[in-house]
Amino acid sequence: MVYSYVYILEGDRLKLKDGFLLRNIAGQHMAVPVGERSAELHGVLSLNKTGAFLWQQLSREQNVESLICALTETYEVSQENARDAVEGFLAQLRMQKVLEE
Amino acid sequence: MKDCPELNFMSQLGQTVLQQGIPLNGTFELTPRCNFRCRMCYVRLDEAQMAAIGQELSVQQWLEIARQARDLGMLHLALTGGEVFAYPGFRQLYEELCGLGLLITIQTNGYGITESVMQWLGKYQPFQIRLSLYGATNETYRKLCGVPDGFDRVNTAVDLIHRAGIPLSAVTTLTVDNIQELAAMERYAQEKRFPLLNTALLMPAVRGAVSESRVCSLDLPAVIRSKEKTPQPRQEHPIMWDCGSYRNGFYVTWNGKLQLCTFMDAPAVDALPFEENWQKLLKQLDAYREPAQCADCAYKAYCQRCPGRLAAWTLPDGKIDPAFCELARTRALK
Repeated sequence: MVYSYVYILEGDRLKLKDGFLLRNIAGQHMAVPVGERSAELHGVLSLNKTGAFLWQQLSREQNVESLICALTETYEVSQENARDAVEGFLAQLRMQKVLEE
Repeated sequence: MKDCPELNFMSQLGQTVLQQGIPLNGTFELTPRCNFRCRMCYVRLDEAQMAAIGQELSVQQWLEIARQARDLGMLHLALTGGEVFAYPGFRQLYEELCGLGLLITIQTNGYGITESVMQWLGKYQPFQIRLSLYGATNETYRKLCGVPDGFDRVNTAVDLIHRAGIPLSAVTTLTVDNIQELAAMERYAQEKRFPLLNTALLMPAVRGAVSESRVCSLDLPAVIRSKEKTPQPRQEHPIMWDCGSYRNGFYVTWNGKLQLCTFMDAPAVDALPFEENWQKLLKQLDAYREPAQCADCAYKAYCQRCPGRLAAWTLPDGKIDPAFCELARTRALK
């Protein structure tokens, strides 16, 4: 289990924001809000395998390109598909108001 | 129709949890103390009664159980009593639990939720609050629960909860003392925008508690005859399948026993070490069979039984209380 952070997107840099615990229960990945974050989200963010992988990558400072690189190095996936996955994931985080802008 | 990813996620999680016997849903009964004295309460104990049975767990003990259960897969944790705000150290325990990655439900009568409590409860919010509502007036709260200003205090709590943005739902237990206010309670819930469920089945007191449930119960056969929809017969299946918590949920009593629910106190094991004892409990529950008198019961298909209800309605001689069986007979004949 990883105590993780969610990044604020600022240009190429992703900044740390606290308040989620990454959990894997019965093979299902999810991010659970903890502490004061629980006032913003009464529930969990469910993550598929790719989402969980990217979430774990975001425990260190990243940018879009390094996330794409991490995906292509770990999985047999093209640059283009990796870019789609990363951008889609970040868009989901933004929609859930987990990313601040 | 498109797949709903949220439902798929929960469905898949639910299936795997049942197959693997993962304790996804926990309930901690922090204390049998309560600031109310509800006539039909099946769990409240006073200090002398508590001392004769055991000791409340400390904050650190609860946290250790929570950590071990979480490491085994617990996600949902309900905090209940008695009244949770009557547990000494509730705030400390709750705030620590909020850092463990759990979805916490607080079950409360709401009386203790004041502005100053909301200062910290609003900051580290629970997943939801489930309120026990007893009436729509102070007079009914006085008659049923023994508190003179119950409704006013609960109304304040509801407003504070809504202002903080904490999801709220409520349940009411219907008795002879508050049935005349059911419509008013429903109007109140609608006005304040929270869902309200009701139940009229008063459970017998368990684990040393003493209650007036028989005296203040509604005439349930009459309620079934006049109000309930025509019941549909259920298919025959093993008794444990009647329990929504079987192989995925557990209950820890105020004195540290791990069991299936508040009513079914056997089998029961110590709460710690959690993993080893959870597996012991599962094995014992797997071996549980329905009472002998149920096997050939003509009304079984109409019985709203579960292992917990059967345990609570079992008399000292081992037979099921005829008052419970009468409900199934009434439905069957309807």
